[in-house]
Amino acid sequence: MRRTDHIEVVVIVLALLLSAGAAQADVVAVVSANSTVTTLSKNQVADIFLGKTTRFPDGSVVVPIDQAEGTLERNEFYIRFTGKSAAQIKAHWSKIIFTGRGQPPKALANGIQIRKLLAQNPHAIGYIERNMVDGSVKVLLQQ
Amino acid sequence: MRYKLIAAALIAVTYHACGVCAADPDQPVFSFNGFGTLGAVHSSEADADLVANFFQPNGAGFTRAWSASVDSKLGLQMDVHLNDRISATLQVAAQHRYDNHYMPQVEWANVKYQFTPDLSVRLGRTVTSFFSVSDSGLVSYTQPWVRPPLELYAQLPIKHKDGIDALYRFKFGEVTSSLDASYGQFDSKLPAGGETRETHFFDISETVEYGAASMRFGYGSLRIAVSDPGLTSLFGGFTQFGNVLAAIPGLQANAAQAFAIADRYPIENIPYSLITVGATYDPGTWLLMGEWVRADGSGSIPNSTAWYVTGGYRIGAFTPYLTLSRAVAATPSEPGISTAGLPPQLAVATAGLNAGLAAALNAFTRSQQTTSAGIRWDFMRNMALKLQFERLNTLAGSTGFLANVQPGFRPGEHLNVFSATIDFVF
Repeated sequence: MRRTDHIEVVVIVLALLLSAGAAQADVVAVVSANSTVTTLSKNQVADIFLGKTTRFPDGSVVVPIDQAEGTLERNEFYIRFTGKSAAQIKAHWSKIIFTGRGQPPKALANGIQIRKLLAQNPHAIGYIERNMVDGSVKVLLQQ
Repeated sequence: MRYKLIAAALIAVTYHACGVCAADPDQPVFSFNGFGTLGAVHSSEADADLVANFFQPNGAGFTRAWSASVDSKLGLQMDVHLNDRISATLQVAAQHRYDNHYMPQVEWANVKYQFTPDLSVRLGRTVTSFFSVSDSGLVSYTQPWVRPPLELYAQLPIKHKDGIDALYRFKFGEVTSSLDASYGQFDSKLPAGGETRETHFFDISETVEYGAASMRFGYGSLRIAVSDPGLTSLFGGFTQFGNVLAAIPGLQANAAQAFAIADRYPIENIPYSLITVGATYDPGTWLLMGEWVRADGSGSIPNSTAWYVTGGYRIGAFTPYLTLSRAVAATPSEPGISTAGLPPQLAVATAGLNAGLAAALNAFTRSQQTTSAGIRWDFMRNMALKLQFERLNTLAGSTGFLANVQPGFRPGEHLNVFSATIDFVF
């Protein structure tokens, strides 16, 4: 291999890395428009999705709803709210499952289904892309 | 007998279930999950075996240079979620066990009752959660290392316990506090025809979590019994020899020493207690964790102090990590039976018994330290590859946590250990 080949390979790899980084979703945490909850901090959202609490800060029951494994929204949500990658989340839940302490949140295929479920369930919390927000859901303002 | 009780409890709860079936329609009644590790370990020490716990009869080094038995395992779990209050867990795992086989054993079999969202009680077999990863110790996928640092984790020689535990978890604002208390017992066969029984095991631990940081404090106490053919004949030898000496005028003091030893060192319900402190900081891109324990025993089981620290840094799917771990046990000062004033033949026999005692006590005095460096690669969803290099030193004349130690082994020398594993969950 000539030296220039190496450089080409490096450029291609960098381009791939950059394009992977560019494919980012602007994900927001949402609850039903009927929910009484309006603000949650990043840590509070993280605790709900990591199974550290089963209630909203006001004491009402919370049911977290995930998007399917491998979706852009899911990966972006966990990075943003918990700082953890998909593999770290998998390890986190494996620890809880195999100590008999619980099962991960139920997952739905996409944002449309999340929206539909939230419209019906004031206890649910999910996350969708910002541009999918409509009147049926409420974006949680971070404290 | 105990299995039958557990099975009966599970069945009873299952039948009871449908009376209260209404519950949460979203939560499936049955969940099945599994985990496993496929591993290979190489040790540079040909005169001792590296093992992952006291229950493995052999490992890497003496028995074979490369061993797949140290880390390989497979577990299956079924959870039954009857309603918001009652659930049950059954976990069966196959791993290298005392008889050199891999017959699956029941690791978990318990019924959980959730009194309130904050308070739950489990009855049956649970895995003790004394140290921060002891309850998920078999699920290597959840851990940064190939195996939890033995220096600390082997200080509590229990795989699971049959009994009761209660968890009370509550939040103060964004701080989560979990208070866990349990009571129970454990028994297991040991390699080479031995058996161990840990009873009156009580432990209490408190975990405080805030965001990415968590701290743990724990106290545990138990009674340890170990019956082993070698130890039985050794202490039987002291008693018999004491009888011989007692019959000889002028050797009463030596006889008393022999009887005292035969009384003091057998491991029959020796009280053992531990205090531990641990901390983890895991903000995402890097990881820092450490634990410390002080264990107090008596007789053959010495006082020990052990700790480890682990640091890791995540670069995409790769997590290189470094661990330092160390265990130091107090060397027992036991001179044995005095040979002063004994006739030559008796002096030779005495020296033999004393050497046997010293070797037995030394085997329980486990001091070693390990520096390990490794890398975890999350190459697939649900799967991780780990490569780990360890430099292990036994300390101060001890044979550390090694097994099958041969006469040629020189305490204090370092050994190099290389491990490669694939961990998975499903």
